[in-house]
Amino acid sequence: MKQDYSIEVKNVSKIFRKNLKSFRSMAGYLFKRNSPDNFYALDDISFSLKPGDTLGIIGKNGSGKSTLLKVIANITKSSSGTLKVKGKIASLIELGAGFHQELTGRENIFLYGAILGMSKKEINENFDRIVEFAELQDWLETPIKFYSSGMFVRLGFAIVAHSDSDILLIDEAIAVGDEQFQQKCFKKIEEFKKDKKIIVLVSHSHEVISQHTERAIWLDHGKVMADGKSEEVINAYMYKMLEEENNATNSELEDKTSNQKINKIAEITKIEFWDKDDKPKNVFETGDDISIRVYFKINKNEPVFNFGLALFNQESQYIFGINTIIDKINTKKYLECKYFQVNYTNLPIKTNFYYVKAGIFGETDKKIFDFMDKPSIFKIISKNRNQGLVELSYKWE
Amino acid sequence: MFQFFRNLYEYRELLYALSESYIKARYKQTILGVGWALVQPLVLMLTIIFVFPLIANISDDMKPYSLFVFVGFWIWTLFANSLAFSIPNLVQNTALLRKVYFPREILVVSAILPVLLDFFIGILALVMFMIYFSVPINVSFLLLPFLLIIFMFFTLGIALLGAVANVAFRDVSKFLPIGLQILFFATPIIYSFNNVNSAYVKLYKINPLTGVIDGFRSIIMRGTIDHPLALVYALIVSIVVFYIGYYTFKKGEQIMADIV
Repeated sequence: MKQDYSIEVKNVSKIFRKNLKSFRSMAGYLFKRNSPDNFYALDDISFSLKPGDTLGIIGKNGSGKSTLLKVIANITKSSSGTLKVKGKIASLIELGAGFHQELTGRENIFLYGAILGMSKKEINENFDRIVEFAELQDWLETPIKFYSSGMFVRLGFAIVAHSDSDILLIDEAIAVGDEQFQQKCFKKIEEFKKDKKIIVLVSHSHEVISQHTERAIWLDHGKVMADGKSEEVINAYMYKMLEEENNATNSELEDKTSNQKINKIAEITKIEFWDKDDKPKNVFETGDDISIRVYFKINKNEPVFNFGLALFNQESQYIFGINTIIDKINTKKYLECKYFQVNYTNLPIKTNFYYVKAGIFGETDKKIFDFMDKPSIFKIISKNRNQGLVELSYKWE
Repeated sequence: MFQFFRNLYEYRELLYALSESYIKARYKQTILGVGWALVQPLVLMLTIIFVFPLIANISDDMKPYSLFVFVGFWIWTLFANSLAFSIPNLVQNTALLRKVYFPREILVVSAILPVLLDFFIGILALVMFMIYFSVPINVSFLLLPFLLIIFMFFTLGIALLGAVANVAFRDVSKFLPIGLQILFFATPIIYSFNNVNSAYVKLYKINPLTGVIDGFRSIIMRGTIDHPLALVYALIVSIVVFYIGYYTFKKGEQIMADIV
């Protein structure tokens, strides 16, 4: 099999215009005139991919993820920079975009196949496999206007999956459909990876990205914020997201506490995660031991009565909280070494991002000396496939 | 121009598949099915045969008048329907424009192909006419395909221009039926170019459709070309129009997905 397909994106920018109504604005847009309505949907993006590469693109809504896919797919032209794509592209930017409502499933397989660049012969050869994959054997002669949305998506993915393209551009499309079919799609994607196809995957879901792509790019307002190993990029992205969320709640909190005169008597400087071999780490497995160490400094000589530590997951659900008053712990040693540490054993929480909030308090809860200002996150990966928030120990009887 | 044909060739499978889907979709949920493709020209033929002999004062070059009108209508329908189906077709396929790449002229051409098929089905009706009026076939019929090609270049040029303009401003497809109606009466279809008031002859000569329809008609009815210069003019205009249309279309294609 030949493997001379590739993607090369060099300094690609895409300028959009907000108000495209008049003839003048359209002509100006076409001939790339400057305008106050112009904005960068993509700003100086560069990367290149060779056979077998998998790239995930994450970012918030409107960060330019889909635009980047469209530029690669040649659906829209970049405003500057160069783009070289070799090989056959199948874009799953929207499954079933080429379906004709009045036609039957069978007829649409041929139509959509042709849109994806398949010849009639190729479609005929793959026809049975497509139908089987889509699980639509009984619906072939029904006009697809009578299909459910799930059937629609299944048919779309099935055709794309058998289109024998070198490059697959996938945009959230797989988020639709039921759990079982999603699994099937991901299995197919794994097959593509084995076949050394280039895969570019856009998703909000950090799990999808970290599971299926080696490399990831984080886009924000059209700019590349991070580019590298999926795991690292996702961690950076999640960190930023949690931080933003936290800033929002913190400013809320500050508004509340300013009345209570939050005075920086103490200050939390750093939170670290250690594994049982005393190595700093950010990614753990369910069942691991983890030590959380919170560094602080004392600015004024006032008596500190209470240290607290709370654990939240990415969805901001409160997982677990402790403090030294509840547990009747003597805080004196902590004040001496300028940090306090909590050791958790056999962490029973499942795959997710978790963040920690720490606090230092005076004699009452209202007297907050410091409440963490930066979220510290760590990630848990569960090897088991059971579901839910926590890992209980159990036995089938 | 070569790029145009290369793209059509390269994406021929898609071209067929889209055309096929339009034809199939057109006759879906009808009892007659594809039979409707035959009904239209036959009914037109019968109407013409029964209605037009009632009209008096017909000059010699228009006799037999029903054949005269049929040929005019036949050519006009190809032009009018090509535009009517292809110009709105980009906008109707917004989802495709935004989600999948292929040369966009495929959408224009694939909307015209079914109309062209109707045109060829119309030949059946034409043959019946010619048998009925015992009009002989002669060597000059070999020129007809050439005429058709000129005509298609013109039609394609206008279709491409109209289609790309319609992506920017939907006014184009709103105006289209009105424009076609005006053009129908301003073109010698149900009357002959020879009958036109001499004050307006120049105006008629500007319209390339005049030469094409006149050419078709004189070849089929008499085996001659009455106005060869008008045909040469039509050829030049057609190529120019096609070139401008295609160039504009390709230019507009770059931002089509952004503005549609």
